[in-house]
Amino acid sequence: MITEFIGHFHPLVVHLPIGILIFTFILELIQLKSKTKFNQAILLGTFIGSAFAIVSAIMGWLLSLDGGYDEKLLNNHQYAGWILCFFCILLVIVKMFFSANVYFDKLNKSLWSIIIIVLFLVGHFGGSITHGADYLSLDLSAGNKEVKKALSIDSISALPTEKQAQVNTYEGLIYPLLDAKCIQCHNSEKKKGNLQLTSIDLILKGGKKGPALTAYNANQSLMIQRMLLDPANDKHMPPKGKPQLNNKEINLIYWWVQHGALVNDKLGNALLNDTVKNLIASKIVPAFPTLSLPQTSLVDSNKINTLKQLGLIVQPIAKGVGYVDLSAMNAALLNDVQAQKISILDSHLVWLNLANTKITNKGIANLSSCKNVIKLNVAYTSLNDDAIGLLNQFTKLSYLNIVGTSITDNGLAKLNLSNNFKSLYCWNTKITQSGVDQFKKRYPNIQINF
Amino acid sequence: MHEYLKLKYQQNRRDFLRGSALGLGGIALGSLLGCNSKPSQKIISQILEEQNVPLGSPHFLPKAKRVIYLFQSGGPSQMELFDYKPKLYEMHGQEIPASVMGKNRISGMVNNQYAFPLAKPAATFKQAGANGTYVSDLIPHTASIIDDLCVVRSMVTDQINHEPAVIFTQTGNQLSGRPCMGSWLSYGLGSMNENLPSFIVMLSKGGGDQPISSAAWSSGFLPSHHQGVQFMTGKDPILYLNTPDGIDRMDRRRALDFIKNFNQLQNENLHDPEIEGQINQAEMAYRMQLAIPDIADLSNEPQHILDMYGEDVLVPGSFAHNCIMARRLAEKDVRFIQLYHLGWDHHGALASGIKRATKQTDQASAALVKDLKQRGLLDDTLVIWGGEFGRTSFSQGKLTPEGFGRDHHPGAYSIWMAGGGVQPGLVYGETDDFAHNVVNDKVHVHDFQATLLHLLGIDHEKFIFKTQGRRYRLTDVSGNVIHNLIA
Repeated sequence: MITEFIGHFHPLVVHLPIGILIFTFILELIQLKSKTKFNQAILLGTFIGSAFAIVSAIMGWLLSLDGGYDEKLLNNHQYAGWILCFFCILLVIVKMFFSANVYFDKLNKSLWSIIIIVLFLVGHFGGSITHGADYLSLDLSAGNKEVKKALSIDSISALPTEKQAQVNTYEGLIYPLLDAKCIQCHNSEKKKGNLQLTSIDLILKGGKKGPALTAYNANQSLMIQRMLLDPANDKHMPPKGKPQLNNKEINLIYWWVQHGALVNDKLGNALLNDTVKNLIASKIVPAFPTLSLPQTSLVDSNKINTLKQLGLIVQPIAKGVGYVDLSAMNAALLNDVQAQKISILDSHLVWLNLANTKITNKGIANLSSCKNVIKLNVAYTSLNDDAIGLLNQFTKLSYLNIVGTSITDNGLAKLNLSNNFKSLYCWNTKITQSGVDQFKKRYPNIQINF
Repeated sequence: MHEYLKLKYQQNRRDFLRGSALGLGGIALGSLLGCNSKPSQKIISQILEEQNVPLGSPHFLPKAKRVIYLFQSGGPSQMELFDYKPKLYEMHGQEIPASVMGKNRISGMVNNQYAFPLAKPAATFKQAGANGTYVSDLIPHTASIIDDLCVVRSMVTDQINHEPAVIFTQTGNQLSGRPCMGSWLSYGLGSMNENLPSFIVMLSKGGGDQPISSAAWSSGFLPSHHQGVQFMTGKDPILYLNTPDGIDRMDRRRALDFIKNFNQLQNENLHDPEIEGQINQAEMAYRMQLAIPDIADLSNEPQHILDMYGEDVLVPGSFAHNCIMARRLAEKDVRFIQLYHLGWDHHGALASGIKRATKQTDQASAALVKDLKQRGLLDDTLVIWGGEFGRTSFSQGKLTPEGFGRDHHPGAYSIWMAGGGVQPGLVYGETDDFAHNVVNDKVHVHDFQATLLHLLGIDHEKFIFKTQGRRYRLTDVSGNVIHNLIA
């Protein structure tokens, strides 16, 4: 445990010997060409640089015990590291005990040349392990990768249906998921559990525990099993603390494996399936419920205070949203004159509850500026058939509650509803079954609670 | 040190540690950069002074504005009500297969049992509704509204005993001390009716049952006035609310104002949050003096409405009475109405016990949903019916035709929800042939809580209260919103 922890400092400590040794080497070069003498400093630099080289080599060895690195690169890095340590020790010994020797100058120069060359090699191998072997090469296929990353479930659900069908399922949906949540540890350099998930062949080849997936059988696929394990389980993937796959994403990968883990299939075929359709369809993609209204500014707090003084409760329907919900729950005596004040909210008002108030037809007429009302509750008020013409001015309505009013079949017949309308509540009114039946013929798709 | 002074100078351990770490780090950084260390100090004090602020408005557009939770305390048996398992009738008397039993925890009450014979359900089932959902004949009224319900057959909890399981469902933690759902919502979203508490609790007793502790409607570390206000079973739902004879309401007002001044004076010195709680509660009680008698008076309910709820409706303290009260409170925009019916803990004589419990609850539960629907309230009222866990498919004690019982079972149970934006007519989740393990679409209690908050427009991961140096959520550190349950 503690050894692993110490090992994790290798990438940090490793920069010290590199810097110190190179700086000491520069001092040697300067001393070669100029009269300034740095003997003391060079000796100290060599000594400290070597000491850090040895310390970081040991740390590196501890880190390598963790496993999960590209074996070839790791071996190269390790051997080069040990060689570097060996020559560093040699240099220190030469500098301390053989400085008077006739061969000292030659020995010193050749040792330094070897150390600098090996130092660059070690650094390069180490860098390849952490940043990937292609980190320094100009990658001409980078453009391709970009395309793969640009897609995700959410971005696909935003595409028009024809375009959705053209997306390659693996490249467009599955690979970006794996890339975001799995490939970080299962790639050609850092193959944890000896598993790489970068291509379908490598996925099928699998790792230590065998193939990662069995086409057409998601339940038997190791990869799926690991994703579905309890997150507290040690074998759960991605491991604790790493970005997790959400249910939607797991479902998608599950579906893909269950249907053969195909790499050339277009999403058009997948969309014939309900599971995927539901995942992609914007309805199920958990976009939070929103109003189909444009953004608007927040309501002036003075207006809200004016209404509060009438006992009305006014609240934004959600944080930072300019549309408000108004309830007359605590204003049972609200009359037409007072209710006229409500019109200062104009297009900001979307939910309006005037149930059990003293409002009459006239009061409704005064609210014509509130054209965005979506939910209107006028239950148990003295509204009658003449109010219907006034209710028709709320063209955005989707919920209307006229329970307990004296509206009759004649009034109902005059009610005009938009396509967005969902539910009408007309229980306990003078409306009769035949009136409702007539109305249902006009609006077969709405819900009427009578 | 004096208790109050302690409170005044209170700084908790985590804040102290963070303060010193950030403080020293900030000073070091400041001197390193050679600049005036004011900006870093500002950042530090901002973090330390992070305030607990109620949401006020929901995070996003809510589908539900209020909740009625018909809590069936004791653990209703899923096999006798909503989870029809023909296999149990076939295998009656046989030992439960070891592969089904697994290594799940069983309670101490059946630990010494040497055999676990499967017991066939003490009920018959019929298909109901447009989807042909199997519903028990014990609950014909619920069956009649099945198209309005969303039945979840795959609930799972962590707790196996009543008290911790109830507390876990309500607060997200098995130990008492955290706020329950009602308190969280009262705190977070506030009141929709200034004359009534936003969280009201009513109990009904089915007979011979586990008691329930008021920890289940505690506000925990939230301000005290968010705790559930319990309505008593009797003529006066709230004791001592009436102004005594000979005292004028204006006198009461003046007395309250005077006391309030004293309280505020004390509060300025001591900053004890309980003082504010006391002031709020006194004010609420004053306003409730007018509102409550009106709500408790059922005389203006027409007979056909009373008949819907069943014959017990006029008996104070019955489940039916509480249900009609719940409707009346929902009409008054009370945010969270919590009912507890005690009467579902059928360790023995399950057949007669569940018959009694269903008779007490079935008609009124269904009537409540119907009544809310016809009034146009079901759209934004979420009704929940369910207990703290399920029951075992094997018999507790000896398997006899009448006397057998079922023990607590946290591994699978059924609940239903209606209105408030849940998908009506949906049956969600699947258990194995013995209703013992969930095989599909598991809904953990934390998932249920997250979904409930989502319906009210709240992101459960952002709804946080910080106390004792740590941030708390209703869903603790887990929970996923089950979007498939939402219409």
